[in-house]
Amino acid sequence: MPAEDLEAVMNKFKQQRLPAWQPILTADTVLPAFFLIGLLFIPLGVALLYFSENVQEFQLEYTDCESITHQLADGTKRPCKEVIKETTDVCTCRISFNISETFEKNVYLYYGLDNFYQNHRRYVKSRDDDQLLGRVNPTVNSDCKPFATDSEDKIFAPCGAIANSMFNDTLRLFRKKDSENIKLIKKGIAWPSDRKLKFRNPEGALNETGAFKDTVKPLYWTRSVWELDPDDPDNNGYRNEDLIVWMRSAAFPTFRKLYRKIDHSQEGFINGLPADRYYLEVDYNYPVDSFGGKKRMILSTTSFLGGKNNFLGIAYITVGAICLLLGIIFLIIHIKFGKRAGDQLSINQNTPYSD
Amino acid sequence: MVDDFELEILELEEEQARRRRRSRVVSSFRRDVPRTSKARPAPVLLDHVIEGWGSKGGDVGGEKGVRAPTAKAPTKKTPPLHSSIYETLNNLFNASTREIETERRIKPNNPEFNAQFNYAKNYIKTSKYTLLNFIPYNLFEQFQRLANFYFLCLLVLQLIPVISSLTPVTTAVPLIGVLMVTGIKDAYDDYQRHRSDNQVNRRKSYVLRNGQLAEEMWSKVEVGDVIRMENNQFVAADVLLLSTSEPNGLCYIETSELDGETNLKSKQCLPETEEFGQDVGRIGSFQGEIRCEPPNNQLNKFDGTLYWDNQAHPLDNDKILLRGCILRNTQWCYGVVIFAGKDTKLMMNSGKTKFKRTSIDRLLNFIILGIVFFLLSMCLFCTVACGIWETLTGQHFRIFLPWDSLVPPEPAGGAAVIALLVFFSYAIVLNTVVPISLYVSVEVIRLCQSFLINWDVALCYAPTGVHAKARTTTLNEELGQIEYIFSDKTGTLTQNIMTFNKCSIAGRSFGDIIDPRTGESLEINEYTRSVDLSHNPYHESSFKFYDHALTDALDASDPSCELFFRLLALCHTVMSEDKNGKLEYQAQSPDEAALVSAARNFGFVFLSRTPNSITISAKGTEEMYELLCILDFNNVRKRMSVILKRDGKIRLYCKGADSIIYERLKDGQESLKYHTQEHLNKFAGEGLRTLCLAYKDLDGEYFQNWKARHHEAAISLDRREEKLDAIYEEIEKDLILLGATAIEDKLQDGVPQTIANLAIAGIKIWVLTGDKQETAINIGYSCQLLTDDMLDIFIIDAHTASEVEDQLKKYREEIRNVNATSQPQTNLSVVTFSIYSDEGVGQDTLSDAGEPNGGFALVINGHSLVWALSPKFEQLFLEVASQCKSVICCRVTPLQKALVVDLVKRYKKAVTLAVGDGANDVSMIKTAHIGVGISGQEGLQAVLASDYSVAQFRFLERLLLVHGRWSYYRMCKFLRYFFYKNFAFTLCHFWFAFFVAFSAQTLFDPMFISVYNLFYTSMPVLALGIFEQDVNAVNSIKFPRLYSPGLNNALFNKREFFRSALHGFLTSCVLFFIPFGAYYNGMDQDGRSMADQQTFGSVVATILVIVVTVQICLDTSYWTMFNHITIWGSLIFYFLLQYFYNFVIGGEYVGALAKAMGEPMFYFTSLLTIVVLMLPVMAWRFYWVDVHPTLSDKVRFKQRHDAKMASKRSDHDMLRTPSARRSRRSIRSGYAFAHQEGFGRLITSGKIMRPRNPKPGAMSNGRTSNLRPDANRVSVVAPAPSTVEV
Repeated sequence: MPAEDLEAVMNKFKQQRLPAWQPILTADTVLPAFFLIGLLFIPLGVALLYFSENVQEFQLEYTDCESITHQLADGTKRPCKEVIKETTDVCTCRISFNISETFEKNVYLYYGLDNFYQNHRRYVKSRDDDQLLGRVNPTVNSDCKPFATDSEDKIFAPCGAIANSMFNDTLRLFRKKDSENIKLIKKGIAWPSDRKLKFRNPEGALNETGAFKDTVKPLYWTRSVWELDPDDPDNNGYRNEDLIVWMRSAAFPTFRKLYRKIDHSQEGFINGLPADRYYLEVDYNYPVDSFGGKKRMILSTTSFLGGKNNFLGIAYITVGAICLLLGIIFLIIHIKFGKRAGDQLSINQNTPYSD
Repeated sequence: MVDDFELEILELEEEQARRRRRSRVVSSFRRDVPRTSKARPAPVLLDHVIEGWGSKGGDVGGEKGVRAPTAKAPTKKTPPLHSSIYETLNNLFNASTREIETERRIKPNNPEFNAQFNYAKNYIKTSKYTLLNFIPYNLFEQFQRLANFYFLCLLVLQLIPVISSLTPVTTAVPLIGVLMVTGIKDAYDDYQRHRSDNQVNRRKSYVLRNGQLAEEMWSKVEVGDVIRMENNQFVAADVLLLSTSEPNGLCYIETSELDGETNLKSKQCLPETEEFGQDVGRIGSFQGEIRCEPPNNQLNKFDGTLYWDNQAHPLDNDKILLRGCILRNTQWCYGVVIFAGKDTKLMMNSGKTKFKRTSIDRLLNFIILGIVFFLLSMCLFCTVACGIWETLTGQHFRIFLPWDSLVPPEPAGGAAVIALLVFFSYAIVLNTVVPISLYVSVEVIRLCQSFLINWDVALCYAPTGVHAKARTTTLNEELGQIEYIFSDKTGTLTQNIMTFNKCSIAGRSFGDIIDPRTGESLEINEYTRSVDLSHNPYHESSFKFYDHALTDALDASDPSCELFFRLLALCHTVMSEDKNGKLEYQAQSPDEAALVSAARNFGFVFLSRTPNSITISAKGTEEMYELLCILDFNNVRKRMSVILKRDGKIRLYCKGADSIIYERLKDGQESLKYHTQEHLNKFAGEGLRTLCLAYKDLDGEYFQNWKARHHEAAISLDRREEKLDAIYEEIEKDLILLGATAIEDKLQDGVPQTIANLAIAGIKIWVLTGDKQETAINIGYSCQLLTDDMLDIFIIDAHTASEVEDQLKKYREEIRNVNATSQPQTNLSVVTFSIYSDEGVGQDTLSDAGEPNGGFALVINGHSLVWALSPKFEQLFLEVASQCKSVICCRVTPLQKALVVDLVKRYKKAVTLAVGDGANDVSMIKTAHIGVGISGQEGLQAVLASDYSVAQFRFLERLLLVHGRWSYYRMCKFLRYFFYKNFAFTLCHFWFAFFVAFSAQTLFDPMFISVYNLFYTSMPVLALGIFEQDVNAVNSIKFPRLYSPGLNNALFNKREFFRSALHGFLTSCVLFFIPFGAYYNGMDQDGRSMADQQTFGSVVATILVIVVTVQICLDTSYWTMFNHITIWGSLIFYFLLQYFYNFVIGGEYVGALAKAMGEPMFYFTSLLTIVVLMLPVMAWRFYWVDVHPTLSDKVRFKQRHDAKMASKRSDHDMLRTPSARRSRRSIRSGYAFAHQEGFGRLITSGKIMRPRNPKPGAMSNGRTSNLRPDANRVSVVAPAPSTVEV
């Protein structure tokens, strides 16, 4: 800006006479806006509802499922939640279910937890992002306590309450007729950005002498962090996708996390998950019983908007309808009671401030 | 302006009022302030104001005024007992406590003797800090501010790990910033104070040391020193006058720094010490002992005794020069220092300037307190809920989330402890409802607004180039809420220039220019040609007269006209002086000066006088008259006469109030009387000040006889005044009427229009003046405060309590009667007569019908005001006064001005503004919510004490109606939005609490929380606070009623706050639950879970930022480029900073927002949220604008319409009251004369005539002394600002 222009602007600023746009709410602008929003929102809502309805979802709660490995002497089945209180053995249970309609691909397998407070303040902060980024420090974030170090002052890898409480049920899906273990893909379930930016293994071989020297496995874990997926180094250690998914703490106490993807390359599942009878086999390790938690298995497809959720569609339709209604009401009000331009202009210095 | 400020207030009554007042002040303080120390009286401003002005006797010009009959009021002052923590601390840092003095003993020239008492040195210190104590003391002071302390507590809480729900940085950074900025400002201020202290302390003065005069700094002057003072120098300390250069041991001082009066006062030393002259040896060996009262703050009282040569000489105030006075017309004088430094009366009177807060500030404090309670109740709720959750679920969840080690393991106890800790955690999380940046932003906005006031060229007075100045930067929005204006008269409403405007001579009126075609009188403007008087060698070019008829008559030697001007040249008490060959007059009142100078310009030149002769030049021939007698003016007589003898003929010339003169006229002049009366009425109707002139020829024998009786009366010892009055009365009768003069007390430009416009705006204007009742009423008419169509003008002039009460009650009855008859028909609303109610005649008569009509006005005299302001009658007085359209208080003392303001402040919940230009307005300016000083030609006291200074009264219109209105409008909009955005922001955490087991987990990134107020949302609202205007400046003045929201406190009050808070509350609810609905179990298109806490938090945060930005778009009605930059800039900045912080610095929430924004769901959610939140706001606002538009809406509409028309048609001139020059019939008297009694006596006694041969040594510093006995000369000596401590 040339100097004199700047000066002119400064002067206008000082005299409070800067050129300005002065919008006024008038019937010409507001009423069309109402109608426009109404007319836009209703079709949008319908479309959103359509997308949501297209998503197929199946939920199966297995909190109380009965063990097939542990039975009482008299042959009565015991629920795994009881079994795991007594023994550290793996308790396996099996539940069958029916898919009545073919799930279009892709189909995703989730585990869901209810009443599980992953968003509790002390829980959320109980982690050490530095550690998960592979930085080796002599100590870890004090927020990890009491899951920071063991009694011998060895650092838990990874430390903190989140990692310690990682979901460790194993879910397997079987098609009833062939008892075939449906192939599941365990990669690609975590956010790419997390894998790229937040989780890295320390330098060195992924074992107790290399990258994870001087660390111990978290208290509740049965395997060390470098044993999470020994077959695939890229999915092992801190970069294990199950760990990454778990570490992204949920916003609400009822949540679901992606567990596996159905491998649609296998025969019979090319186009999705066919309608049939299936059963779920669970290696039941994770205790949620004590605090009233629930565990679910969820199968779902996705749409352009993600999962099944009618909320947005309904909300859009409602808001659109209200808008139209308001538009009509205000049109009537404006015609019947609105001040005409003439009234607005016939003012003098004694016109009272408000009528 | 104080020249015509006259003091005639009963000392005793004053004293009583003061003491009553003080006891009330003290007792109220006792209630409020915890008494921690009794040792030292704390200075309280009000106390000082009252004490300082307290016993202002009528000792101006030696006149004693009307004295109360009873004995002197007790002078012993009980030290106030109250004190505060602050005071205690103050003592800690400035520790110097002394025994309370009961009597002061001083031996001049005897430092050893004086040293034993350890009197205060002349060193003064107004600064607060030193380098060493600055940091602790300043921090201590800053943390006394509630807000700072609150944030300090938060910071401490955040440092405790178990509680901390946010990093301490979020609070520490802004707090430290605020403390530093304030600290730097305080340091700078104190540096200035140190500098001015040093400047004062380093002033030079001559001190007698060991028999030699030595130059010393003021700070080195001690009690008991003899100092020499010279003309035009400040007096260094309170001194006892020993000898002077002037005859009779007189010396003249100007006390403008002390009491604001620029007239000269004389002081006189003891005749015994006068003999010292300037003989240093004699003065150096002066060995007396002075015993006097201890230091106090009563300016007009001194009690002491000088013991010398075995004689006791009483010492009174007449012999004392006070620190801060300036020596005038006196070559030198010597004095003994009695009080020095902080013991001087000046320093004892310099109360701390009270820190003024705006009503919004007070409301804000209240609201913030309310918010804190709201916050605590939310915390309490969360605590209880958390306790329940921990008991029901949390204790079992311990397998995954064990309790902290310091929490007891048993379920009940543990849950309780956790819940308790959560209370504090939530206090931290939710603290942002009271953001620290609120205070900073408010200050920033006010500062900018102040600059805008300073820059405004429309407030610049072109002739002098003086700009308006906001001296206090924290009161701007209060300018938009003024309900009462208290105005000084002289120098504020008027220019204090008197011009001879018209006259009526022998039944013929002169002064109007008549249009020869229409026969109507023409308006005189700057293009009108004035009469050429240049043939007269004595003429003054500044004198303007426009009517040629008068000069024609004079040229034709019309005997009446010649006699008329001869009388004007003879009958007065003006002194003449030859200054560089030019004749100059020194008059005691501006009216007289105007009259004598008019005569001079018309060829009747007053040349000189001696005690018994007057010489004039009449049309070029010198005439000498023998002055036989001056029958002096006083307020009862309302006239003055001179008796002159020339060529053996004795004649009495008289001028005075029309009513008085008419009573004393000789019979048989009916026609002349009638015509003159007509003219008088016309003059009065135009607001001119009139005097009638008359003469009478005396018989020599009769005169001798009268003269003898006059002499007898003059020397009689008892009831002299009475006897003199009677003797005067005797001779002033059977007068022959000559005519009348009309003098215009020139109003400042635009005063009537300004007053009319302000009145339409709903502002009540009270004029408080030191003038006499007639003068004040006269000005009231000329500036439209009083009009002839008023129903009644109440005059309260009683002298006793019961009479005042009767008058007030009578007027109240009258108002009630009128209200009772007129109200029910015109106004159906219930009219309450409670004094707290503003409804009443005063407002209602400003009806929509247009020109305000009817109504009452109240004129009250100072001596009645003493009673009206007493606790017993003050409510009655206020009730009557507030029902009147205008109130004029005349003959009030500075103290009373302050008391009147204070009365309105106390009982009306109204914002007051005091405007004045002289030091006598200082107390009122300091007392009012807002003080405005007129930065005129006079001293600086008023300006220095003021919050705003303007060059002219008329600028008040723009200051209030434009700047004040805008400031208020902006500040209110700003505050409403600010609370809205913070509630919307913070309460999201509250909703989230229901999902996070009340564990105080934050929804947002801590980084977001710490910069939300600072970076993301502050700039647009700051721009709003600086640039917003609903209506432009021209229309703001054109439609004064736009001011009324400020008066009614309508734009920001508890209800508005509640509405904003509720808006924020609902917004936060929508902001939380729409994304909740959308993201619950959310997943992306590849099935990955999206319902994690970071994503959800980022989504809500982003929508929040968008929503509050859209909201400010809706709120902004004036989009300058700065608004565009800040609004769009904030949004862009948000995304940039999110990116930068997360991806470059590596924030905790890295990737969350990016991921969310990669999915269409985010956009659908945002759109829905924004529409849901904005739609109701739009609908609501549209409804009000469309169906119930306010004047502001209408004017905006008109503004746009006008702009669209873009027609060249010149805007119709403002619909102002057309009555500024309306001709009316008036039957009131226009008599007004600002004159004091007593000068006639001085003239005839020759006391103030300069001796022909000055004493040797009088010319010591080469300056000619010019005697200025008159009070009415404008002082050109402005006191140095740094020394003004009153």
